[in-house]
Amino acid sequence: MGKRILMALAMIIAVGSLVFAGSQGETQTDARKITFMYQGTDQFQASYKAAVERFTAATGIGVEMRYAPHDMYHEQLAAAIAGDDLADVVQLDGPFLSSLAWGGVLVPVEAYIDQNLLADMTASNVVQCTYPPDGKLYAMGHIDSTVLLYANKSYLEKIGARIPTSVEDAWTLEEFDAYLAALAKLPEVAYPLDIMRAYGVKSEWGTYGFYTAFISGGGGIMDRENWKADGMLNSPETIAVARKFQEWADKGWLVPASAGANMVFNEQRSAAMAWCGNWYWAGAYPSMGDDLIALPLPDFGNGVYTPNASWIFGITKDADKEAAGQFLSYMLQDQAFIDDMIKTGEFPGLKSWAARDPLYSTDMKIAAEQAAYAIARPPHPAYPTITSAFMKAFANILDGADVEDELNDAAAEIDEDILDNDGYPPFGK
Amino acid sequence: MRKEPKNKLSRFSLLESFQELGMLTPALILLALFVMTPFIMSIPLSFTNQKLFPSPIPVKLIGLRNYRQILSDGEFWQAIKNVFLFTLMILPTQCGFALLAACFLNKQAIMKKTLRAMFFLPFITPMVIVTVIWATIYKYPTGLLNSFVQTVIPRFQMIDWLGNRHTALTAIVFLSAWQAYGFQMVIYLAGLQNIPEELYEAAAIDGAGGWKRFAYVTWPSLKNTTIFVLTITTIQALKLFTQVNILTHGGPLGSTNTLVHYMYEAGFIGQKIGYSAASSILMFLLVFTVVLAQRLLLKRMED
Repeated sequence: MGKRILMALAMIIAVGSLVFAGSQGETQTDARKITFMYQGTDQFQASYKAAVERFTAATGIGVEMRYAPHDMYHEQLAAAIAGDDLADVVQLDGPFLSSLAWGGVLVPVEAYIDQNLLADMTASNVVQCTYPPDGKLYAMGHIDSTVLLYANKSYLEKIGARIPTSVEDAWTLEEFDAYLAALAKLPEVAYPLDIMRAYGVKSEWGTYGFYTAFISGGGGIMDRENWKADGMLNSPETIAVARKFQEWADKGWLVPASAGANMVFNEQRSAAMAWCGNWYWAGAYPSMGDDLIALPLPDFGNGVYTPNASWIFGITKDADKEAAGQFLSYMLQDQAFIDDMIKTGEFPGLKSWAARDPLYSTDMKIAAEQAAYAIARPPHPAYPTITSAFMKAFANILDGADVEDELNDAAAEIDEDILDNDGYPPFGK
Repeated sequence: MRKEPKNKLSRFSLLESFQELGMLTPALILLALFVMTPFIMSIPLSFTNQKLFPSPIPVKLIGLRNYRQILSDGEFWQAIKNVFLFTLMILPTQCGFALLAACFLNKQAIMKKTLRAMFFLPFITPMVIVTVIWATIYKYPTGLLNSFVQTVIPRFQMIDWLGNRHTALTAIVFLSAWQAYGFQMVIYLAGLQNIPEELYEAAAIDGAGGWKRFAYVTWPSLKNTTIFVLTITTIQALKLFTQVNILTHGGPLGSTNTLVHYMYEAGFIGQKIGYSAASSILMFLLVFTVVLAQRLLLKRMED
């Protein structure tokens, strides 16, 4: 027995001294170091890692990388804030900027960023990084985005569809509806349209992919004058667009969630069109080649409107802001990093990148053109609630719920949250 | 638990109880630190409008507003209904399967250890991985299950198992039962090995066949084991979350929404921590009541 106790004691001492030595070792390295929280696909992760290594080699500033999975990212970010363990540089999805700037998590970045980089940002990129109440940049971005229709050209030719060549002559809702019906009748087409239900009903896609369709139909999520959802999210125009999507789902025209996101370009090619972000091209083109064409989103009656914004980088309140700004300035101007972005078909948010990226002046030139028709998601601190209420309602509507009930409930949920926070001053004033 | 008959010297039992306490301490400390303390902290939180992201507006006491909102929310009641349905479905499925597997393994002579390990394997596979594997089984239209049923019954209309509100919850019941039955199986196995062989011998002499031996010897002897298994399975079932969060996010049309998922959505996606805390308190009261009622009921059956 005594021997065992001795053994246990010895082990405790051994472990303890190891821990002690470890912590001493840490204090000895006093090199400058920042932390960086990010998300993204395997390819993106590799690009960030490589850019970080080049940055450290060039400046001697270390970067501790903290990865969080895409679908859980804002939850993990919130946990980091609550646990007072926030990274110096955090990635965030564009529309969450208002919420984080309002809460004082992010600081204005302009003073810490290289002037050349600031001047290189596209107009839409500046908008996604700006907090509307004070007009200051609270983040930096290099990529933007848009949503397009992608079609199998041979199917469109079979049904004799008119193929738009610019946003100006985008399909009207009537045309789009008629083409879906015609495509549904082709024997090789099981589903005329894939709206990426495989991305899951509770991913930002549910809001991002579709909010502009509602605006295009004369409705929308929020009244941007008084920041109320009631009267807009449940307006007759919004209801009409929601009914249209529900009708397509009812008819079995939309690819179901569990079927995956590759029905347009897999071997069977059993879906005719996809409604997806600009990143779709890079995935679909290798197998479809020139059979794949990119088209503008349809006009639901009130003109074409298209989504924008992407994942951007903010500097947090307790950060080593100089080093954080240096890091962002380096990475976003690192041409090898931008080359990686071009390879994955990302949509440029920097003018210099747009100028040397052939994709957006050729096959995807519609995407570049669409940037002029883009409208941001509601830049309001209540955005987390806005998007969660909207995407839930939209998913339920696709699953056959009563359209008016769902939109009324979502509008009430959003307005109640705004009320709970005294209107998020200075908004609503 | 029943007191054991006092056939030992009292100083020994004093020593024993110290020993028991000593062995319990590490678990108790962890429980107090990571379960009880956060729960107690969430009680005051549930009366406030605390948000997840920081806010320049000071946190206010808002009385029972959170509770009133939750109790008047149709989604909350739907989540309760789903959780009860899930529990009612999974109790017989999972415990029945566990008992069946335990009986089989108890008699098995060849490859005893290998078979036991194989039967236990799903339980030590993380739920996330099991869920992803089952997602491909349930896939529509080309998943394993649909293809299999269609091979057997050529006229079968393929079903979107997880995308149909009439089948989604049942689909989750089967994958959950398959993943977790190993735990109940091991407990039943231990219970089975505690049944004295003489009882079976006596039953055999009395001319009892296989089924009668099970009904009159095995099943009654496993009563305490069954009570434990039912209680623990109920608690686990009421906490359903992971599978739902990965596969359906509560959909379609809220048919797979659960209490924990409701709480998670309010807190982490809707960012309403106060509201989420209030729903966790309501959930605690519910689980506590159910388990207490179940315990009293089973106790009465026992006596």
